[in-house]
Amino acid sequence: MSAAGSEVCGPEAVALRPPDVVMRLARMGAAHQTRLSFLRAMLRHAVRERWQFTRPRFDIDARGVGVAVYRVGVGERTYSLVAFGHDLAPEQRTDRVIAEAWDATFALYDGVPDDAEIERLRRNVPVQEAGRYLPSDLILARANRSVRLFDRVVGALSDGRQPDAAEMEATGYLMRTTAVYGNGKFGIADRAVIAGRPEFAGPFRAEMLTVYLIRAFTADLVEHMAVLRGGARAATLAPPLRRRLGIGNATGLGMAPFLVRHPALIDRWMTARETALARVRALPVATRGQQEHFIRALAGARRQVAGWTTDDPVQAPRIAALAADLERLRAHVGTGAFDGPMPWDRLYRWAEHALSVEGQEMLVSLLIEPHGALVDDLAETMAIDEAEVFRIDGAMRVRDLAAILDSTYAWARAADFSQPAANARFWYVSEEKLEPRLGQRADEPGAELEQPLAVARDVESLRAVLARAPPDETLAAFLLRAPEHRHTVRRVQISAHHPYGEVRDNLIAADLRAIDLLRCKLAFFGVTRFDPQSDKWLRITLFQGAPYPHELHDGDWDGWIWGVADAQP
Amino acid sequence: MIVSLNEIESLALKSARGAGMSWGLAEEAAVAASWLAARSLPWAETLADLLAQQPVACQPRIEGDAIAPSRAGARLCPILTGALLSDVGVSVRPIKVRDILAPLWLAPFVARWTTPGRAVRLAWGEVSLAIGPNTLSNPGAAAMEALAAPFTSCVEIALVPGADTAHSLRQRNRDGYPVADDAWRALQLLEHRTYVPASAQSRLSGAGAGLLDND
Repeated sequence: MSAAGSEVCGPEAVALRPPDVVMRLARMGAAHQTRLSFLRAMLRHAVRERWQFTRPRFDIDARGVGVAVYRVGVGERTYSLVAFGHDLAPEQRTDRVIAEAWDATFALYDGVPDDAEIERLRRNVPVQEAGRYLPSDLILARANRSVRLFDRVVGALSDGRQPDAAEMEATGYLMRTTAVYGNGKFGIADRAVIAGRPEFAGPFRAEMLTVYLIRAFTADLVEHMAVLRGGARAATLAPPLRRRLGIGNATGLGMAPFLVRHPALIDRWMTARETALARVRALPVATRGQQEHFIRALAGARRQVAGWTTDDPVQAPRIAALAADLERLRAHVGTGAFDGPMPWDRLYRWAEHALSVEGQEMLVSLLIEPHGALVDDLAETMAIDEAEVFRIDGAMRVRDLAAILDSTYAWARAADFSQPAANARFWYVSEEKLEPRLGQRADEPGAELEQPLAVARDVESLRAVLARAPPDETLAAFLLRAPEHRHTVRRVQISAHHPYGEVRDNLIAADLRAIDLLRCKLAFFGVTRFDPQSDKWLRITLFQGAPYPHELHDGDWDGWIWGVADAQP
Repeated sequence: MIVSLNEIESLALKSARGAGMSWGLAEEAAVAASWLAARSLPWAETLADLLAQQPVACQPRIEGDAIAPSRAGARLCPILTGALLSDVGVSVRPIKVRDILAPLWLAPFVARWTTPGRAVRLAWGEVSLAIGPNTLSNPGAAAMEALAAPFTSCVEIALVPGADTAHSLRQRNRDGYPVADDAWRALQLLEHRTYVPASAQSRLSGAGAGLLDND
């Protein structure tokens, strides 16, 4: 880090991007993974702490039915992924979270399950939400085969051939998870059980470990089924080809409210990323090594974008524009962009005018990439104890809350809620599926059961009421009179100290694309290849290009996500 | 049954909302329920009884060092009153709360006043609870019924030195949290009121995904 001179040029030198830029849906919906993303931080932790992976059990038959156990030694603790394979009829295979049967189901278990525990899990895990679980069960998940690719890979390997690389690249995974549950769902462990453990202190680390092990299971499964079918003739996947298999995921509205319900947490995530960007932009020079690293990552990004396809009419042209952006960036970098003072900052400011929002956000990721020593500590600042910010300060006066509204919620004035287009949608929970849904206020029943996600409208309503309240009145007294504003008052007080806590757009607008919320969250997870299937759900890929557990401690995998790791055998 | 704190928070939130509380008060009920459950205090029965009584109809009124119903003959809601105590912040003078339902539910709110050097004592009937930031005096088996009292005419709240807490709290998060089936089901009935029944249109458009997935 001394070569970078970062110690003489602190993060104060370049301001963080303001929330009015960062927290807009159009930009959140163009977010990309960075090296602070949770699955990358999880793998770095695994490498640093030398996690030990074994597969003590793999009892799966030729139809894919049976049990497998993957074990992870983390210091003095052990975790086990217990995987159940099932024989699923094609008509039961659906991406929707509401399905009732899957090709494979999983639990991440705290410790080493004995036979009785595996039997308990076998009675519950295959039925997922219909089962009950214990605090020893940390994560619950399920996945379906990507049928065509799965069958072709098993077919090729059982004939002793490698599968077609282009076909594998086009799909990118053998199985797609359709839900990954943590934090107390259906009786599994509350987050508090594991939040104090260093390996799971960051957000969603246990979920990411689970998905990582599921990916290993899918690759092992096709090789195993090929042997059962082809016998001695069967081949195993060539390691570089094998690594191009990630794990898929289908994500819908169920994930969207999370970003809105956890403003203080989202502020931590955004602050970490924006601080990383500001630290990089503040660097006085770009070393030769950093320049080369950046150029390698850029080449990887161009390959990644070239392989990123979607039929979505909004996202497809954005990908094309991003490809053009990256070509423009490559050309710009080739013409002396690193010369002169504060080259990273100049590069970012160039991009503000030269690139699309997708391109700018990809550049954010690429700028952060070569500076692990400067920014990786920030990955450990992305969790928060939300209980600390829950209490409302009722001694605050009406006038002071109104002042926060003026300074932090000016954006909420943009929508005119007397117009149907601004008030067009409502978020609700469906009785049939117990999942979040988005309805049309004018056409569908149930708006009186709306969830409290219409932040802009509720803030404007609060603003109007505060304007008529005595300025000296305490919030304690105000809230006794007006308890219907209590949830909004809490948000406003949180936002005063968590500038990136609020999505600064109207979440019930007629033109809302709910997948913008999903994309932002998924980028923080570390996923790639966002493939919208509508404005309400999308498919994505995780861990594509990542080393498998048995490879993790051989070589330097830091840049795996760009396909630029240094030591791939 | 055995449940998680997350399930408790979620059910308390939705059942309080289903019983007519504002979202902000329902959030208070959720966090309070989790606080009580983490300390093995009888949250579910008391909440189910409380929510059956339309408790937020009467506002609390501050009268000197007492908080009382604003209407004669009415009863205070401990969640509304607790939220007021939390909002106002620590009171150095002892406070009396009069005519209140489910007095146990004041505990999670005045617990927010505590610091390592400052505990709070809540007393009503035979109950005396000393609450620290991570400690709770052992109420004793005999007091369990009194803890779950549906009503009391007076709760006394006073600051006490922080060391006055015998029973150190160990959250039972390794074992899960037992809850009475009857109370759980009663709360689920209220929770159910927050859900929107499916319509033909919502089935088509509500979530987006819907196709079989065999590609």
